[in-house]
Amino acid sequence: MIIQRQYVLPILASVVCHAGLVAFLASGWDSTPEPRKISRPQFIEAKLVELKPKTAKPSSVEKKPNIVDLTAKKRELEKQKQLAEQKRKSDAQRREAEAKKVADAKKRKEQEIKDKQLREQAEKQKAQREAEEQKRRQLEREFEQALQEEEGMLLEEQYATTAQSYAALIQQRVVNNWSRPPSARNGMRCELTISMVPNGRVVDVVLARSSGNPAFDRSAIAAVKKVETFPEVKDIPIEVFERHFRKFSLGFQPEDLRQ
Amino acid sequence: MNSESLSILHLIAGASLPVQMVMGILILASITSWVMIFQRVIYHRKASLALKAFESHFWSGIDLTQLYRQSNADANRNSIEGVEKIFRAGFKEFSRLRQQGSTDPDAIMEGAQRSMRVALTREEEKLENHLPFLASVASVSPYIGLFGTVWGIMNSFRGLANDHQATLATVAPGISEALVATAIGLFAAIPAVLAYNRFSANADRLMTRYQTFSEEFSSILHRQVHSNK
Repeated sequence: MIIQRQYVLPILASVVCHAGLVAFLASGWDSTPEPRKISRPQFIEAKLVELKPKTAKPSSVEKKPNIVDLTAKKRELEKQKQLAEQKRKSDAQRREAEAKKVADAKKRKEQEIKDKQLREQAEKQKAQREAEEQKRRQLEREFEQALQEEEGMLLEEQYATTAQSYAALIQQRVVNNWSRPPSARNGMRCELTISMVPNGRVVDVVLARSSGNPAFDRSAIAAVKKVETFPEVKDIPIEVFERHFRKFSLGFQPEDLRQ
Repeated sequence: MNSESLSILHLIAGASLPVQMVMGILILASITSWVMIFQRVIYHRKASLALKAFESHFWSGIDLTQLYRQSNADANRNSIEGVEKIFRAGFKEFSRLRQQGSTDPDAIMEGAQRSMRVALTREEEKLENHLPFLASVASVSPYIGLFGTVWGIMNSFRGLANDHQATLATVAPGISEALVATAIGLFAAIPAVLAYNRFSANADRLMTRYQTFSEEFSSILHRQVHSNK
């Protein structure tokens, strides 16, 4: 009994210590390692080749400043119109005042003349307005067209980002299959143009730019041929595929090697 | 591998059976050694306080017979500890021998000293109780932990051999699991080493003081025996 009593306190203290430690470890040490940023050497660089006709681009570039001009022109037109209107009003008032001043006898005659004049003026104004309207409509049409083109460009950009993400996948797959020759050195770079079909199968690999080292070029081509099919390509939307992946350029360069 | 599954409890739970057994043994050893440590701390403190109190009482000029009676009263309550027991053993034997009419002072002294020696040995035993266990934990638990680690790493490399794509991520959890065993081994061993050193030094110090006291006490008895003749 004495021995047991003598040990009660130590046992309690020890168990409490260990339980506390375990609790601390369970709660406080829940290791949340900082998500380390691993910067992998990019030794294959995927670049997208645009197959769009080159003429489309300059046209859009040309029309871009048009949009800016458009608003300025519009404003100018409006200003002119306002000015004309003001002028017209003051003219009419003056003429009315003059007409009142002139004797009533001549009133009818003058009225006739005035009517005629007014009619003529109205006709002229109408014609002018119509012309303006037409011009404005044409401008609007142009503006809309420019807008549409811009929207197209945005869509294009979206396609490009999608393409970029798929390009990264493709690049990864090629890297995994690439065995560099021992003669590979930093600074070497070769580019391949890969032709694919929409199911991801590589139909053709062409050396677009040689690195100067035939073994290196061969290893790059072999890497692509070894992959044979990129399963990711199946998921690419067809518009993006047509635009960016039917012909696809891959750059190979071993940057992680010693000189 | 998400971060949550790398918490230490998950690592322990995910370890293989031998490693888990090793960890269990080590945790048990750690708990037991801490029980011993707390018990020793309490006992040693009590012993050194009792020594101080008794010595001041003893040297206050009190009559030895009276002191003996007082400590008898304490002994009935089972609360005497350490040096008082030595005193009681010596004085009991001394007075008994004298009551029996033994006239040879050397025989009386010898009897008293012997019984004090016995009491001293008992006290030493009490002071050094559990210290061998602490020493064993201190020296062996790192090895046990190491065994667990080696076993765990062995297994994780064997798993690696079957894998075609060997990456660090396939071995790292296994090694991490295995290393927990070494960590627990060290966790058990370090306090045990410190406690063992401290308590054995403390026990030595107390024993020296007990011996000094018993020598002093026997010199008093010796004086009494020879003056009474």
